[in-house]
Amino acid sequence: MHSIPADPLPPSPHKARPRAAASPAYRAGVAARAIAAIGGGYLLAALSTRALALALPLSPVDSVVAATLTGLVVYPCAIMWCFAAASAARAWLGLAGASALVAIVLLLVRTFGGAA
Amino acid sequence: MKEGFRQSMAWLHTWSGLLVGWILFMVFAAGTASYFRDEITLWMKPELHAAAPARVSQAEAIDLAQKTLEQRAGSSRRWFITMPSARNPALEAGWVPAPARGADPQARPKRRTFGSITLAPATGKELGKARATRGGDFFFRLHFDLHYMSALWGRWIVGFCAMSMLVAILSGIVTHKRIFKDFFTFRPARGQRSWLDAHNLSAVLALPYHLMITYTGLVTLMFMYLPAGVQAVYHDRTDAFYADLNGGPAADAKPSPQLAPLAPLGPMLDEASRIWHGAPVGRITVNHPGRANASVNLVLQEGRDMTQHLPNLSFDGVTGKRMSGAGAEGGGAVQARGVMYGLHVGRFADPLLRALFFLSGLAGCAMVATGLLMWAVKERPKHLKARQDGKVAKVGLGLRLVDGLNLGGIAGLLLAMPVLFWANRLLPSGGTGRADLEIACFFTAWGVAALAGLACPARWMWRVQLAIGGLLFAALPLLNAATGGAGLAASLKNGLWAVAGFDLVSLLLGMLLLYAAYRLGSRSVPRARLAGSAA
Repeated sequence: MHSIPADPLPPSPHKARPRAAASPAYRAGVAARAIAAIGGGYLLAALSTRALALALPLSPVDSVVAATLTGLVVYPCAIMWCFAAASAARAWLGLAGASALVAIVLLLVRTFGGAA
Repeated sequence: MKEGFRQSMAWLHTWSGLLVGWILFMVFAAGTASYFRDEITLWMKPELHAAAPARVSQAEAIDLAQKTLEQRAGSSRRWFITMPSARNPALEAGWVPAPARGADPQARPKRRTFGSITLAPATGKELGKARATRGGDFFFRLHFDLHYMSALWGRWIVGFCAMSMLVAILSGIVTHKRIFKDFFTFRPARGQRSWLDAHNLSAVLALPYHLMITYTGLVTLMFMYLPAGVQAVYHDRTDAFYADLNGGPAADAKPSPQLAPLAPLGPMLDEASRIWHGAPVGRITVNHPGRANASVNLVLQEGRDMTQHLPNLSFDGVTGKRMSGAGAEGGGAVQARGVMYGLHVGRFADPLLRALFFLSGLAGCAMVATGLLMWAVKERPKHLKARQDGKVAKVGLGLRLVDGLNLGGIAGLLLAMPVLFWANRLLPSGGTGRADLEIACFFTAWGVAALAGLACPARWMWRVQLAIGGLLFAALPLLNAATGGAGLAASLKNGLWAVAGFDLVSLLLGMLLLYAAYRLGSRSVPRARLAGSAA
């Protein structure tokens, strides 16, 4: 019963879970998180890949491969963040913050010249 | 989400798994079958079973191929030779036809048709033209290209599902408190709890495999899914990137106008084999045979090295001397990607390891299937309670939909897969569009099963579909023997392990499905346990 705590097993028939699931606000929250996760998460992954590909001190082909391999890990982590954050607004804020940070790194690499 | 971290991850696990689960089951099932892609193809071409006991040396085989190609395709620009191996006993020689002289380049057909011939290496006889079939390549393509749509769309859809799967696996691990204990926990015949245990067991048992196969699957197409890095460094020179990645071949040079006889290929194979510590050569490409600038490229046979980046050697086609190792050696990251790519396709593995991969793939199918069924099993009591309380009159649409899709997606697919093999043997072996017809049979069977499942998601429907699938699978060895293939007795006697293995695995799978159908009817199964049973 520890493995999937959201729905404790066996279900106690008298203690129904709060059915917040139905409210429109809850649905809007889920939608906002899903958009942040799928769209925003991809953007963050692509930005990180771009920055890493330019910043890594390897041969061009190696930095591209290493950066893309890393990007594939950034994406699911970003998705999980979006659903772990306390609210949809915080999910968006977190993504925006991380993206801004990566964008700054990217700008620095571009300006001062990286491996490429 | 609403509560703690663990709860929100459990929510994410449920939904990222459920929404793409049916496609994932197909991807897992077809991908698992693809481990034996060559064996499936061989089984589906019974005309080739006669090439079976091929025990000739590489030197004899290559001489045969060279002589045949010189006769048939002397003016061709490029030859391809695939050496016989344990997995495919036939020797295959192919060529690119010489372009018609003075032909208008616009008038040329878009797709060049390749010539090819399949030989029995022991006798040198051309093997009867095998029936037109996609063979095991169908499942291989299906598992990332889908079908009846452009491959590009298919790859994006499968990529989306695979990323969902990765999220489901990662969030599933995070929600798990007792991952070690669950490994040893199975409580059968206890309804919902048993499904949870089965899901945990199949997931945890092969967890490294599931993580590896999902991530490396994304890696195989990662430059399409995430082209940002390539664009940043190479801008729009993607072909330069791929040349750097794969060790740029300079093979597309123009043929020299000067003629020169091609050196014998046998000694080149010997030298390559010596350099590779006795490992055999797999594929041979001859560029511009019979010209002064002919070159020969030899690739190590698959199954000797884990990476998909197979070592290769180039020889001068006229002098027969080895050319200095062409092809760029990538650094650590390129090697790492090569290994991951190789891990995903598993072609390096010897039969035993490949069987383990196959079993892990089956565990993956079980993980997806039990996860899907568990959603329905958990949802059902809520609906029943609501109905008892008089709140609603009927079972909810969502639950009914999931029940129907579970039936069609799981039992329906397991029924459609053997239908493909039956169609392969029962359709007449001539005729145009035969290969597509086989595939149409597969999808028709699946479609009918899925519609029946959606129309009537009940326990008896599960039993019917599982039983049909089981019978079709279990009878495949008989069908094989009856329709011109090497039957079990012959294949075992001649050491034709690829065909014998296909028959035996089919028999086993069939009996497993039949047992499942039988179990669903026995009284010891609690009513609440099965999806669709109470509806």
